[in-house]
Amino acid sequence: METYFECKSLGKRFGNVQALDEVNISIMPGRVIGLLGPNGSGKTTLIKLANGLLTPSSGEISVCGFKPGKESKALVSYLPDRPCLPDWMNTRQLMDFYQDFYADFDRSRAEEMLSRLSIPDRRIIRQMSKGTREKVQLIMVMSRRAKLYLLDEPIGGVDPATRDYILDTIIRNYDENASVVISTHLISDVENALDEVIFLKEGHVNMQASVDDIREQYGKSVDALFREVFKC
Amino acid sequence: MEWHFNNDMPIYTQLVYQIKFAIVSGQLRPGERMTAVRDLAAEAGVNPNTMQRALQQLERDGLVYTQRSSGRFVTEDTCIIDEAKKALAKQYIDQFIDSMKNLGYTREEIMELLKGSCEEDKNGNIL
Amino acid sequence: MLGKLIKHEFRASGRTMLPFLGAVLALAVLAGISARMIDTDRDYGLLQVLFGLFIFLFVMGIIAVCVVAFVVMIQRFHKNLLNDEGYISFTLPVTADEHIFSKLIVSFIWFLATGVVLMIAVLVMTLTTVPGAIGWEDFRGIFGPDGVLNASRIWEVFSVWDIVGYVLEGILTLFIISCGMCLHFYAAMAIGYSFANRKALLSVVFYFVLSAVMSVLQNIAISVTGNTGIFEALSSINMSNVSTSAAGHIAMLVICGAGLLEAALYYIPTTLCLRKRLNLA
Repeated sequence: METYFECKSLGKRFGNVQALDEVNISIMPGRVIGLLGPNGSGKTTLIKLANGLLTPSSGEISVCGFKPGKESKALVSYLPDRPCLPDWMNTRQLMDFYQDFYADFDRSRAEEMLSRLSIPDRRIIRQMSKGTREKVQLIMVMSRRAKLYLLDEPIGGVDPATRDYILDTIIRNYDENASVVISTHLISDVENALDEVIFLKEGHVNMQASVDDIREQYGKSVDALFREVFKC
Repeated sequence: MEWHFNNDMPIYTQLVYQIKFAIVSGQLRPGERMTAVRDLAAEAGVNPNTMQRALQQLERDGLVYTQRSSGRFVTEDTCIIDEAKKALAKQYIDQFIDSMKNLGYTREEIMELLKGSCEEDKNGNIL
Repeated sequence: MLGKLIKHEFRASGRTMLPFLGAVLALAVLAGISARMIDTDRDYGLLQVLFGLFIFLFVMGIIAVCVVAFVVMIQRFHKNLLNDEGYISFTLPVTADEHIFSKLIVSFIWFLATGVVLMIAVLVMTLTTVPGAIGWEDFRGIFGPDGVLNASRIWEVFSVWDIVGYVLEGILTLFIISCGMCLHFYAAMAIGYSFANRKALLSVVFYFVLSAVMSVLQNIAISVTGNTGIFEALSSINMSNVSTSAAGHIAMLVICGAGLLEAALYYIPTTLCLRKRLNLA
């Protein structure tokens, strides 16, 4: 089967800092993958490379069969690790924007999710609270029928109720044959929702394994294993 | 349905157990239509693939079945449910006996204690 | 996709540009009307103040709309591509070149619209201030003594296609000049923001570095063309063989070509930095 995300001895260097080194990853369709590692382990760098926001220093990266570019971007739905929606738009203009650029944007799904949060049609993004903006951004990302969802820290710094909302939205909406990559350092919050985990440590892939295999083999949760692997 | 997970067992095993428990305890009635996999997974906060695997296991056990167009249902065959219930009961009892033996009780002592507890219970006393 | 980018670029910049352009037109009318009232009214006090105020606001409005057109051009590139919004913009299924061109085209159209609005505003104010100030007498110059439109004599020298050509060349030249100016800013920002720190400061520095490089290149170009004797060769052409209109076209195209070269020199670092050295904070 074709892979939706593949890295071959991928490396990225910023000046003297080797942010990623010899990273080899391959992700099959239909899987939910946790990209786990402490802050500064290279999670965001990897996701930015996959989105073409950075250029690799060495090695190769391929997304849905393409090098990151115009073709791959039409198939990837990306949630950045920060709120970055154009704040002057209202929700309707925002949906126009997504609909214009992404053929796979399902507007009725977005409208339904917005109305469930009782966000009015013409509410301007600048007037929303930080939490609402994050939810609106997630709704836009998850309303696409993409092949690969790259979600960078979707649950970073949110309260437990919002965390449940976010995970629920992800689980209910990703396309059945798509792959989902969730990067986070808050493992216990997401591990039940994952098929597989990838541990990133100082720019290297430390482990790629299925969650249930880890539990079976080590008799402990991924979170507990993570704490052991990354003990300071 | 209420879902509870502990951290040291595979989620798949726990899902199989919890759904099986819901069926034999009557929370899910024979012939009842089950929630769609995706929604069931979202409800439990687990991965849909894992939920799917758990349901397939229960299908192999005969506790649920799939009708091609209309979805997944709890079996109407009460014999299978009763059997599963008995198997579960046997599992609990074995666990209980194991624990008691570890405490140093003999088979007879265990029976005495058990009888006593059941009678107390009948008199309305709280254990 | 370029069309969609342009559409959303207009949505984003129109919010700022349209009110300013509208305000300038409105102030032109108000200043004109208040000036006309002074003429007919004896009580100068209040109206004079009002007239002074409107004229002042009108002049300020003209300056403001020019500044705003400029600021919007820079700010759209900076905010939409190099700041947080860049995470959205650069993950759209479009190329960096499409982003640059959409912004060049929209900026040019706003510059053009500003120019047109300023002309209309001045005309409107003149017409409303002194009715009859511009009368038919003033248009008489346009006609010859024989009552034939003077402008139509233009056809004696130029053909229809010449005129169409000049208009197109004129617009093209303006477009290329507008692009060159925008790209100077774009290149400076694209280079400056490709660094990890002091992005804004470096952008300013690179603006001046690029200016210096460009003037050096221009000097080299002039001395090279001078040495190769192109000017002598050109001046030795027997002009009687070249019609006036052809000479005009050649001059326009030479200006276009030079502008195009300059724009291209700014374009290359801009697109390279956005494609290869993008480094969003």
